[in-house]
Amino acid sequence: MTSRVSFVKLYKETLKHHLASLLITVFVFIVHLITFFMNFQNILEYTAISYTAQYDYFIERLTELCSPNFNNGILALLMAAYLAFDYFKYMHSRKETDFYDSLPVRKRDWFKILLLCGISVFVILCTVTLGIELAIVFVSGYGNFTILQYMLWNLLCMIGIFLASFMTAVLAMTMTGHPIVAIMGYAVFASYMPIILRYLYPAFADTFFTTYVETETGNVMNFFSPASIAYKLTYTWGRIWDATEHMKYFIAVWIFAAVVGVIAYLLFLKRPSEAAGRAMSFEKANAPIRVLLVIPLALYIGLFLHSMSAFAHDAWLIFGVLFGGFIIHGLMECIFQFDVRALFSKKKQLLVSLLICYGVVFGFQMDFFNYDEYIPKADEVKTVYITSGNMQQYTGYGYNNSEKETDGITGEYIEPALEAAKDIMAFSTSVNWDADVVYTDVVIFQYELKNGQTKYRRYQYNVNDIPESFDKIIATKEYKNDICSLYTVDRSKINSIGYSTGVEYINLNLTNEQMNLLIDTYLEEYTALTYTRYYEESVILQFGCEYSQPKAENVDEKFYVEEATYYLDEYFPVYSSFKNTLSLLNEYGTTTFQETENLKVNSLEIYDKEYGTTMITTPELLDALMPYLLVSEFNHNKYDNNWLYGTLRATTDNKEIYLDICIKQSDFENIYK
Amino acid sequence: MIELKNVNKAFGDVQAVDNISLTIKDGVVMGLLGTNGAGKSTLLRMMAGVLKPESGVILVDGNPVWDNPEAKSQFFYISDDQFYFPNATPKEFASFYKTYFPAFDSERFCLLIEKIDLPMDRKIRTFSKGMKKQLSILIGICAGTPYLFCDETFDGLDPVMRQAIKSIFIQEMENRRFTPVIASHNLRELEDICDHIGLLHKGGVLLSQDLIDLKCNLTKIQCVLPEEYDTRIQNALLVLKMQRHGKLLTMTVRGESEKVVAWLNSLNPVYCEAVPLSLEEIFISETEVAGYDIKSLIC
Repeated sequence: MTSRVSFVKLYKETLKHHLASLLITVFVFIVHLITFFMNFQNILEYTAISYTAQYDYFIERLTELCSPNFNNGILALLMAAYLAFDYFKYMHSRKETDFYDSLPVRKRDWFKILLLCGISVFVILCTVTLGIELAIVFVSGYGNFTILQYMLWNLLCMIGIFLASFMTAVLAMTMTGHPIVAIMGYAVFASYMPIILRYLYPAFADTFFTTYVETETGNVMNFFSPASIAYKLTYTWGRIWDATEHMKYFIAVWIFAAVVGVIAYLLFLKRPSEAAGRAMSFEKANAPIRVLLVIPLALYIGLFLHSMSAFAHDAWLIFGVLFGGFIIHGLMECIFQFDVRALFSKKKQLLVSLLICYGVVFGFQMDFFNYDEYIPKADEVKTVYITSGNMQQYTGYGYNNSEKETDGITGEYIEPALEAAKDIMAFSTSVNWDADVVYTDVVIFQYELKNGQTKYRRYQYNVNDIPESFDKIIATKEYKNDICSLYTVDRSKINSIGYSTGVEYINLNLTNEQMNLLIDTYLEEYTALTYTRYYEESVILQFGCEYSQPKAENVDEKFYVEEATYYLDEYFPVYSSFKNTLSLLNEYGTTTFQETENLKVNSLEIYDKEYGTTMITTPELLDALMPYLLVSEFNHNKYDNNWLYGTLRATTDNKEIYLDICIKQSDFENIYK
Repeated sequence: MIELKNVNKAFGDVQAVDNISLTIKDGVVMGLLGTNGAGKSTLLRMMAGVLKPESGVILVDGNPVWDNPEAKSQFFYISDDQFYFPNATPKEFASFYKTYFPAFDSERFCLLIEKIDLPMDRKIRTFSKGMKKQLSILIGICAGTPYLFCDETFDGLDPVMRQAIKSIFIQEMENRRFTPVIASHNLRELEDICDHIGLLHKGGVLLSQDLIDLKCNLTKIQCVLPEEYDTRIQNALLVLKMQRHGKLLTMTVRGESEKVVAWLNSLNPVYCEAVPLSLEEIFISETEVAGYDIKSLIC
């Protein structure tokens, strides 16, 4: 039976008896072809409408159409599952098992025949379809080597995903004895690692650790599911598929297919035929499978009830784990035995699962591994990165330096940074967030350790009581260097410098010397800005740098269209204490918005939570209030109860403008009353 | 020859086949008899290489059957609920088997199918249960294998068809090496087909014997003799069963009928006659000796 002729004969005979799946696959690829053609036509139509609208955009869209994409990934994934189920479904029927297993064919040969049939149906049709699609592109005159390359990647990705999914489905079929259970098995294989396990630790850590930061550390789990590999391999977030970027997933999908294929093959050889009709093929595997599913799912249910309850969180958590464990364990046993009365069986296993669950819950609650108290030793640390959402948001890293990696805090500054972390942590872990009413902000410490590990900790702190050590580390160039591009910017690329008052943006005609002086002065004062001052002070205005957009590289000259120069702007806040900067700006002709010439204020609306909206139109009152108004867009740090927000309606140059402003409550009340 | 040596198979807590050792010689029609759950189907599925014995070995012409195409090509297995491809016709089905059994005799298949009046080009799913069984037997015969395993295949066949199949079996056995093994719970259906019977119960073999030996070795006697002879009879003959209704004595005796009657006639009975035994009575007698209440075991 293993001779070549016999194998081919059996292959043909097997294909003949799976005509339905063959036709369905043909139909699916015909639809694929039609969809491709339609999209191709749409792209052509688009370029016909607007020829000048960049030919490279058309090429981009065409490349996108021919390159690996999420839709093709899903198609390969689903078709693989369907074909595997179709070719191996005989294992789930006693009638068919008796029929096939009594035939004079070795089990290993039978496995190969079924595998080859299922795979070849997809691979041949997929290759033919993509070949036709490629031919369409070439015949239309738009084909080139790049398109050919992308189409090949597309084919290889689709086949890789197909194989990974096919082998997983075969494994699910082999391990079960009933089609419904097999589908559930496939779903478990597809979701267990990248969803169930991947999010278990983050969910618990986020609930129980005050300093937890969700990172991408669990991404390794994505390599253990055909669905997540397919997603990672084909999803492009709106960009063109890039082979280098996706290479690790491309390799992973083939390795995954090979490993799961070997496991499926070995289990297929060992699978008892009498498993047909039962839920599971290998009874010995039932207990570990159940425990592995019951523990995370019970924990999730416990956590869900914990998060849903307004009080008595712990009681709900304990009950949820018990309830979830019992239900999941019972349900699985009902499935395993195909008997609803099995709900109460295997109590010892349930007990073991629950004990493990409670161990996990207790471990997180008690913080056995001192997660929240972790501060690395200075000699273990290579770099410390401090990320404060608020401060960085308004001093943002420049487009012009977007390629530049952040340096972090290193060397002699590590120890002060760790000292600051310790002080902030002391506050963060001691505050009762439910009871204490404080105005807080968040800072993330990222520790790059010398052993290659990266640790993240997130601390919440009182903006009215910032530790001195933290202020000190913030007021260093070492920290500010990573959050403000002005330190490292190539000043020759600065096209112009201007300022924004909130009402208007005005360019300054500065000489190089003036520009350098202004930037150096600003940086000196900005470096010395502490966190305490950042919260206490107001941003008077923003000065901006305008950069010319760098010319795109590696553009095919044939399609390159010289466009008008693009400019990118960056803004830098000027705080009230930046006396030297303000003095220089004043010298160069800057006015704050309160002093903007030609600004005719018509009305001011102030919103107060207690008193509602106050509309002010009296000119005298408006004039009196003007010096105290700040542009709220510049002053997002003014969010405590001491500040009121409002809208200023004014006319400038015959244009009506609306401006969001804020004002200190005490100032407003003093003047208004 | 098919040999089963200390074969065991359990499904969970249920011991379906319990240490069975059995030899099926070539050229006989072997009947495996037993109630539902006796282990017939399990035994046959193990012989067909569908199930793997937990221990013991099954040899077909000296080759172990498990995952061995060489051994498996020596038999054709018809299960109790035979699978047919959806929409397949007998012609297509025969073509399928031709791939797996190169010795499949397509001409004879056409001839036989015509003979028993089965439509060659009609979809099998439109066949009645009996027609499907006839078809599977014909395919099994034409597969050209030395052994044919039938699980409850004759249940539901009418007596005429049973006779027809029996005659085809005989023809095959005359023309080539052919040994059908038929499992059934119905004793009467096996009686007119089988040469050798194996009785299974609770996973074990109660007995395995040629039908003719069974019939020849047991004699049912009805005679009229006074009671005082009872002890003498029991001492002199191998009496399996003795019942007395007044002066009429009915007994089942092991031994040749003529010799037993001759000895009894020497006691000058008022009446003495050897009565033919049905297969059912033979089994009842034999198994009662073994301590089984066989009446509850067989139909």
